[in-house]
Amino acid sequence: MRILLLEDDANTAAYVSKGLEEEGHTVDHLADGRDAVAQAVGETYDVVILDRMLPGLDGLAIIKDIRSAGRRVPVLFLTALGGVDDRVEGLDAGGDDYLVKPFAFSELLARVNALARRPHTKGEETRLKVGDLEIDLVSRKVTRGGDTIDLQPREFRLLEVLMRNRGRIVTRTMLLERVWSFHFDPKTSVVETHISRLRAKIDKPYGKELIHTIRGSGYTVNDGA
Amino acid sequence: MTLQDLLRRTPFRLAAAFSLFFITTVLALFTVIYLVSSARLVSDIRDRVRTNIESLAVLDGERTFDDLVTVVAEESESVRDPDFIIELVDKDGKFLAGNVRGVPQSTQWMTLKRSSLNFSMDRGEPTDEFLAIWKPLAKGSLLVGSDNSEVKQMKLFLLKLLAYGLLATTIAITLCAIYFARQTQHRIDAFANPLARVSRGQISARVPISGLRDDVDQIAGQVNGMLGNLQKLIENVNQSSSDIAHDLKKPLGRLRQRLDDARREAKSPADFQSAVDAALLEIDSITETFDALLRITQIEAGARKDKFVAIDLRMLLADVHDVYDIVAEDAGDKLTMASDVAHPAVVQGDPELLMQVFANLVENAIRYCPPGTEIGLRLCAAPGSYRVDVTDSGPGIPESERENVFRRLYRLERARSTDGSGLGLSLVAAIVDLHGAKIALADNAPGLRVEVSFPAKSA
Repeated sequence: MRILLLEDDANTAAYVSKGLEEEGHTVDHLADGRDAVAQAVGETYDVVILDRMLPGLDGLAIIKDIRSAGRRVPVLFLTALGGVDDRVEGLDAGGDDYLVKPFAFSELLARVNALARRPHTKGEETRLKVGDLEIDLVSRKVTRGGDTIDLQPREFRLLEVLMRNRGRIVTRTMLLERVWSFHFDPKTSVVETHISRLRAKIDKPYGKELIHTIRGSGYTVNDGA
Repeated sequence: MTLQDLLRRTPFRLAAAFSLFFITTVLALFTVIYLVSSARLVSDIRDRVRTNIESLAVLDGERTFDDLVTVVAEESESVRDPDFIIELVDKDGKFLAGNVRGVPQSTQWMTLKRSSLNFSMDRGEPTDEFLAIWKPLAKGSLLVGSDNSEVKQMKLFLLKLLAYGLLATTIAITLCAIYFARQTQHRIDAFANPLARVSRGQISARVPISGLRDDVDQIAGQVNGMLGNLQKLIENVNQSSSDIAHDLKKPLGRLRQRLDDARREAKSPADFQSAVDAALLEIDSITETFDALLRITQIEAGARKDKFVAIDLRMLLADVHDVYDIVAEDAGDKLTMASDVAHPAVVQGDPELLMQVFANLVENAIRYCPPGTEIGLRLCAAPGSYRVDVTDSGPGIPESERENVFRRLYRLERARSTDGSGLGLSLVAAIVDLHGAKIALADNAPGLRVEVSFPAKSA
């Protein structure tokens, strides 16, 4: 993937660039907000990572300028610690996802991967399939190996988020945000408990696990092939 | 003290304005007295002259005119004091009798100067004045006039009275004004001095209360109340700063120990790896504490209030139940939900923050109560408000501790061994406050009951 990183802090930029390049991505780094819009509009990127506070031009203004130039490139913006309203403002301005600093690299990587559009899919998918597990987003039906599985609405939503990102890691925080709209860190094992209930319905009776725990990162759905 | 300084003082300005007003009033009063009494004196003299002239005019007639001439002549001779003038002329204006001659004829009242008269008497001052009038008779005209020195004397007397009165009044008023100005100035200074001390940093200084129970005392009471609150706030800020410093020193100390240990003891990359992992966890928990503190500050600043929407508390609680019933079940507890309200219980709020409030309260019950605890969510309606009770059958919180648990970084003795920042309930309290709601802790006998009361959304 080709990624544009707009970050004025040299340490953070080096840390992020190095990590992403080790994952096989190409990273262009800019430290000044003034050059950012021209670069983002003039070149083709798969993802833009944008610091909310940049010298020269505010991160919000950059997102707005990129959007008004007609670019749909996914934007992940980085906000300062505890910025409650930054998230809302950033998403309102046209950002696609956000991450609060300081962050773990695995969290950033998972979000960047989730943002990158699949090159070969056209339009909205309505049927998602991993191995013999299939879910229909319209009829909200879940089947595995031909058996229909009954899921609670919240269990379905959890499975849907995992399936939309099949083959990629979804972190605990991403699940909290997308399934339960929790923008805080619960002190109990909310995610683990719900995943375990989902596994009991999806995986346990079929012998072969599709939902995998990636230690220290999150969860992924794949058929383990 | 210069005059400018004096003029800048409110009590002095008030006293000066009051004195000026009073003196002006006295002056106006004296002027009226002066004008009325001098007019009255003039009219008295005129009456006298008229009576005089009428009594003589009785003799006016064909046969008695010669008698009149005689009488006038006698009058002129007999009058010894120079306070009376008289002149009788015939039809042609020729002098017949009198003590003055050649007074010009007029139908109006005249004020005649002694110096302008041809007076047959030697005594009297040239500045004397006479009020005189002509009366036309059948065979001539008669002039009678009277000295108006009475009016002059009266005027002089009144002017003197006025001057002395005014002087006395001015002195009295000025003394009064100075006295009251000083009294008031003293009370103002008594106010200003402690306030100046406060602004120099002596926050414990207080304004004296005179005990008069007047308006100044009321303001003094309010100022003292305000200073008291301010002092408490500042102490709180100081307290929480040192709490924060303490709270962060502990994990930083642990972090340092771990890294130090790793440097000395670790033999393999795996040892280093686990030391780094432990250090990262420690740093995450420090970050989380900061995050929570910043969040509380932001929420207390009230910035999110403009993003409020209508929220049905029943739906919100159902969501909370939906998320946590299996979490409670896995912890060996039981989470139940009940609603006494059959219709949507709508309040104005931020759904994300309110979710956090109830998630936090339920999580506290799960974490700090032993397995087997019954946790309840209940929605009740009261006039004009909705109340959500989060109950548990756990150990509860002793009454003496119930206020403290909302303090930042405060942790109950028995909770110190579990991980947690001591910020959860502070955050809850800040969110509840933002929503204009109230939170109270009560005894659930056994256990704890947290009551959150929301004002119902007004239509």
